[in-house]
Amino acid sequence: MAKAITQVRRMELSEEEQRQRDLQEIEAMLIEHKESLQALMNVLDKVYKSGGMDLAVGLFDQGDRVLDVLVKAVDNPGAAKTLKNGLLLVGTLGQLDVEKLGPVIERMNSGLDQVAQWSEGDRSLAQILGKTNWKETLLFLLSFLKGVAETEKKQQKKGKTGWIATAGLSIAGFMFMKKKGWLD
Amino acid sequence: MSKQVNITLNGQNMSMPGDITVMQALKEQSIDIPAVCYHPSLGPIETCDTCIVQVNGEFVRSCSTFIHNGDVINTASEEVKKAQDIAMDRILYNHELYCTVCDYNNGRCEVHNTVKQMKIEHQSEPFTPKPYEEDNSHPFYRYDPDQCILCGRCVEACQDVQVTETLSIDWSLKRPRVIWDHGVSINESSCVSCGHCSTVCPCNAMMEKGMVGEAGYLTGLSKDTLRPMIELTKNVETSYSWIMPVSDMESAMREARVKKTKTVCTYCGVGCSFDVWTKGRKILKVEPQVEAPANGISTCVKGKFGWDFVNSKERLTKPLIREGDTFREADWEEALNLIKKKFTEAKETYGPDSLAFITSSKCTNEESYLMQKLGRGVIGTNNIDNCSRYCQTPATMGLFRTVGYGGDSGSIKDIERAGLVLIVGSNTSESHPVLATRVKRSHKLKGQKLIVADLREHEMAERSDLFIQPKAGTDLVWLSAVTKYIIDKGWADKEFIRKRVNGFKEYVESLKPYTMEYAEKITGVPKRQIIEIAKAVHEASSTCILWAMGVTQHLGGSDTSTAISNLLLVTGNYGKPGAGSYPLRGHNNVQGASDFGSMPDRFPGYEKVEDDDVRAKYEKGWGVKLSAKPGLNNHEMVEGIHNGNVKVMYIKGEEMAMVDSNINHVHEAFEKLDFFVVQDIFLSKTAQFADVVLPAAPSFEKEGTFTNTERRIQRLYQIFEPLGESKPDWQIIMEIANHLGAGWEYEHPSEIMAEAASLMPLYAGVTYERLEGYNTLQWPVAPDGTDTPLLFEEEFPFPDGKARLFPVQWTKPMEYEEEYDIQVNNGRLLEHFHEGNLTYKSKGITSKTPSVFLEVSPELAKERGLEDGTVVRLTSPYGSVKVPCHITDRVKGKEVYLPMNDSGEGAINYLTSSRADKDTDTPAYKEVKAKMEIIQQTGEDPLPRINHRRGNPNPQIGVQVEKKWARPDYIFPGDLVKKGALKRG
Repeated sequence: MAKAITQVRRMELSEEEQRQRDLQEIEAMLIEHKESLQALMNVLDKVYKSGGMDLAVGLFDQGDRVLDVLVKAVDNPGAAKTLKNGLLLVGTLGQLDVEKLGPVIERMNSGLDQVAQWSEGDRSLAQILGKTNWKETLLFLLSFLKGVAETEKKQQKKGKTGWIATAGLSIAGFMFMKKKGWLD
Repeated sequence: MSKQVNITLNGQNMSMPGDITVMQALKEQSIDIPAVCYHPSLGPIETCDTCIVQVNGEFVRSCSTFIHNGDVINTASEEVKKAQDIAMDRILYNHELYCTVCDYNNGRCEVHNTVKQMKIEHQSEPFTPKPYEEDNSHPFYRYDPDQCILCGRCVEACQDVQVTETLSIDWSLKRPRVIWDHGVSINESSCVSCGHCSTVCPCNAMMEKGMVGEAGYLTGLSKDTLRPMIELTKNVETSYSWIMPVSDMESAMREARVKKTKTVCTYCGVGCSFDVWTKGRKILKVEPQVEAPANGISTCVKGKFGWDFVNSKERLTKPLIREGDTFREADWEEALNLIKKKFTEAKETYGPDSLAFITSSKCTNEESYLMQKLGRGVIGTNNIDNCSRYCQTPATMGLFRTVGYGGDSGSIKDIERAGLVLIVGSNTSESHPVLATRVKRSHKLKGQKLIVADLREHEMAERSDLFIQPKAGTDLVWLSAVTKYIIDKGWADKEFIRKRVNGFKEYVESLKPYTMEYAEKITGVPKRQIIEIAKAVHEASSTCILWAMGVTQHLGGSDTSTAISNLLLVTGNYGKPGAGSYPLRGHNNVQGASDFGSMPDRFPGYEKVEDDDVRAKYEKGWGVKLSAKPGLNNHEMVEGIHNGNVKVMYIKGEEMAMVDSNINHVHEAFEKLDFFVVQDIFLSKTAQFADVVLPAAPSFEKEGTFTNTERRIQRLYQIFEPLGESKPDWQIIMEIANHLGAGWEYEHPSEIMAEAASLMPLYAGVTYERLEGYNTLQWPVAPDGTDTPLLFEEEFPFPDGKARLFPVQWTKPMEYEEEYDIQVNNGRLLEHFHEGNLTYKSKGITSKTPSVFLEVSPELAKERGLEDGTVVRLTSPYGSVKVPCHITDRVKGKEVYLPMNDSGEGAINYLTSSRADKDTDTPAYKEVKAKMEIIQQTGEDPLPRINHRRGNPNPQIGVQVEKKWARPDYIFPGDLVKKGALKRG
């Protein structure tokens, strides 16, 4: 019963009471989750002792700047290319038919053994010519190159021309050069 | 009935209905094809070209091509894929793809989903930025041209669904973009902030500001860090098959912290429903759903963007008790005990009828039910009312007299499909925006006829085929003249009248005075226009009459409403689709409050308090004795306080101190009360008079149901916990009742509804299970859950099943002394709801409409020397207001318009009288005359430059995709594929 009023007096006691209520609530929560909290404390202890805590604080504290630096550092053509090539390689791994590659690698190894023998041992042309199974060797080389040539045609549009050929030859070349000691 | 046709689809023969498109046929067969610009609520737009398939060897867009007998459809060939890829390439040329750090990556982005669906790996042309800045000018949403794919959905929605006609795409630019009006910034345009564009945008180009930087885990990064990240992603990405899964994972993670809850809008009576996306207590956006029954994807500025008030710092969070000249915060127990003491004292000293209860048209049905149960069952009085008496009670009276049910005859869909819509005394596009869009759309695109009768030339009047401006308060005369003319011409629906209506002969007698000449004399409307209306009603396939306060808030409001219903009965416009009477309800729950007995003479379900059988039913149901004496209504309560009979008042959720009429008189009454309890979410003007103020919770913080103007009952779900110590109204009422010994034990509003349903035949089959999600029921609801979308199909709810023509006579409006020469029309605004207690808390809305203003005609301005910004004082016999002028030709002559968005010196109700409708006591708000004097000649125009009324819409039909096709750089993808084939072949 009275005129319209607009002033509101906030409850003064309520701050103290509010604090009490909040403390009670937290107390109840701590008791309810006693076990998981103990486990958490354990982990935190170990992180703290190893210095990980400090590291994390630094990271979160300067989070924006850190991210900024990271992103800007990576934002250069070289880095982008590396990441891109890395992703491409991973993608292409899926395309390699490693099962079929197995026997080829075996043969590669034998071939390299022969090369090793040649580089470290006898240098007699006549001897090698005599010992070699020419038919098998030629068949191996020719069928490999045949496959490369055919695939090359198919891949013209996608721009992945001669990848396998290059890869294969570079692996072979690399191994040759290593054995020869040209790369040391 | 459409006949079946035979088609071959990817080699399979099948039979389909003959009136569907290829896209619909494919959907039927669950065949997936891409579609970016198509939207079920907008129809085919034809801008994206991704839905291309082959029909009989030709490439066509499946969205807009209908199937014919013998068609051979191919969706799987290489060529079809090529054409679709070309279309998608063009989209990606316009859109920078960075899904993982995009705010719209929530599973619904059409660009993202279509890229996934089509297994796109690369795009042939890289994205290039557009030469336009982001437009951030508008307070609620922003446009990023760099992301815009020019699908035109926003344009389609603005032009043909919302029909505000602000947006278009400028196809003549080198890089086309969306423009507002003729190319101004968003905030300076005619945009009404309805939100349709941001709702339908398939990507993040048009986006709600609440989402920007908030929706994703990484989207909140500063722009400096984000840009290099986007660049890095694009340089590193080998193909989109990487981007998609990573962003999908992030999108799934978002589900963990973005909550999506359905609610029903708390503003107007249309009852839009939608999902609200929230993160903690932050509101990200309102997301309308296609399946929402009243509104679909539509919203208005308040429902889409007007929710700042929920988290406002001014919310009441603790009970307040008056002490001297301040309020003191108190604990609930103290407040409740004080209420118990005072209520009991008053009841025992002065009797139960010394207490009065006002429930709310804004609170839920369950809350209204409990308030009237408190008054009737616990205190023992029938002094119960609510603010629906201030608006539509006369309409309810008119309909009770004639057809037996006081609610809309059908649904919004019926209004949509009517042959003729007649709007009397309603500013529909501002008061019921989404409902108005249906009328605007049908009128613009489907040939619906529109006739408007009003004092003021508002938007609906501008669009109408015929607009009449009768003198204030004379609608009954021309309506009756129209009815008489129709009967005299032999155009009455004789079959319908014979079979389904009583009282025809007496009614025709009563119409004798309403000749065309008489009508012209009284209303000032030329005879030929009134005859045109009669002809239009006669020629229309079906007629819906919509009306609002222009009809009801007069001395003869009930009678005018009766006259409308009589006209519809005579022309057979009841009980069939697309026809009927539509008194548009103001608040979100006006219908519900009335349904649940918030009135002094009726129980829930409109059964009379004086009926012994009804009372016995409630006495049994509640276990108490009930009073048989009808109580006091709003105005009678005010008088009761003045003459000392009413000592105590309890109001919830209503601003009676501002919205009742003659508020000087009301304020004096409040000051006389012995004890006054007000329950609200803010310290409203009404609350300032209280002895105890109780903090309540709004719709976002509780469960319950609302009933909209379509009689549609809808459930709202709780989104937030009540703020601070506020509580849902139903809990507060229960606690008060229990302190008074009631022993109520409701644990959830569903229990309250169950109890109400068991006592009210109207809501008999209503349960919360039946209302889950977006399911709704329109009353009457039978016990087995069958509801009634269209009323009166079989019979009218009278003992003999027939309707009644009810003779009425014209009541002359209030007369004033000559010095009061200005007619002060009043009403709502689009962007502020009523006095603005909720909407002024929105910074964005307030920035565009900061205050009240007086619309003054150019003629009056010239005559009195007024300018934009002149502050005037209007004085009526009851009070005065001070308000700045705005000159516009929406009003004419000596009629001014004062909207109600003010609670201070500009509040309209300082001018209104206590005179009311003779049958219902609804205040005659519209019968106000005043005299005007200038207080301050020059001042700032009260409508700022960025108010939408200053914009210039750009009407057109849809996005005009033909202009896109006419561009020299456009080739239909199908043609491109054919060319390529020719080259190779």
